Amino acid sequence: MPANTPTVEQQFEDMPQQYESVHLGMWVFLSTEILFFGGFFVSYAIYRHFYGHDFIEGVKHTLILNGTINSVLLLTSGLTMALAVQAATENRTMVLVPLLLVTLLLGLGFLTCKSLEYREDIADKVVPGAMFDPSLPLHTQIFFWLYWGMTGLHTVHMIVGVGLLSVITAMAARGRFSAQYYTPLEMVGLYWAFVDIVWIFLYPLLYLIGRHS
Amino acid sequence: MKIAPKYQFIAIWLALVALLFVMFGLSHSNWGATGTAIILVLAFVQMVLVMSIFMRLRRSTKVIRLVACVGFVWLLILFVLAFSDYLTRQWH
Repeated sequence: MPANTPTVEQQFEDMPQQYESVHLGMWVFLSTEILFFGGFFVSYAIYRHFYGHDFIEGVKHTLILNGTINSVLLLTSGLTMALAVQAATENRTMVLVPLLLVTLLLGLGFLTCKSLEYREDIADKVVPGAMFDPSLPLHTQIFFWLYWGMTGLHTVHMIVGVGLLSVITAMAARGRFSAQYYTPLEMVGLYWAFVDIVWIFLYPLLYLIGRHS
Repeated sequence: MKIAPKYQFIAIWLALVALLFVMFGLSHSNWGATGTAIILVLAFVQMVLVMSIFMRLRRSTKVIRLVACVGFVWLLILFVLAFSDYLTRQWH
């Protein structure tokens, strides 16, 4: 039996039911992920409500060039990932590995850009604590606690995503996916898109809103 | 005429990047709270595009679409319950 022939596991009636169940499970997982980040988002809303001025000072001190480059990198990686899944559904397996490699490189580009940004942030003394830049308003530390927390948690997700992408790329290179079976690829695609969506909100909250007020 | 999915994906990506630059431009304007509101609405539009097209919710079954929205319902409950205190408390 070829490696990419799908089999129905014993707990399922047929392939459509198995396929639907996998999707359902993945979306339930992504719902818990929304709440994983939810605590940070609600904290951001509450503290911005109280310390709007100090938050605006914070926004003015994040590195918008790195943030914008990373937004473009992630949105583009979302495209190449979606194209990879689409290629699998159409059995165009030749383009699969190149598309996944581009996605992986864009993800690594994001992480590189973020590391350079973190290095500059540390030099700029925007890490909350004893070393925090004394010229900034006191509660700007809360903004930067959120900055490090939210981007840090997102970065952890990116590292996990890059790991998953590496596995999926290796599987694709071994010819494990075809129009008959590409579920793992599609699930990693959903995870990658979710991480993309988190950044879609982090970018305006941490880099944009109030920047020129 | 039916557009091939890959061209649809590329069109969506162009829209996402265009929205990104509109958001960037708005952040350099002096529109204050209106600018902030528009930026957040545009981010929401970006999310809807990614979910419906890149994550294929438009082609998914109703059950999957429902589950995809449920996470946001819990998030909304988190916001409403948290702010039910902060927005109503007597501060003085």
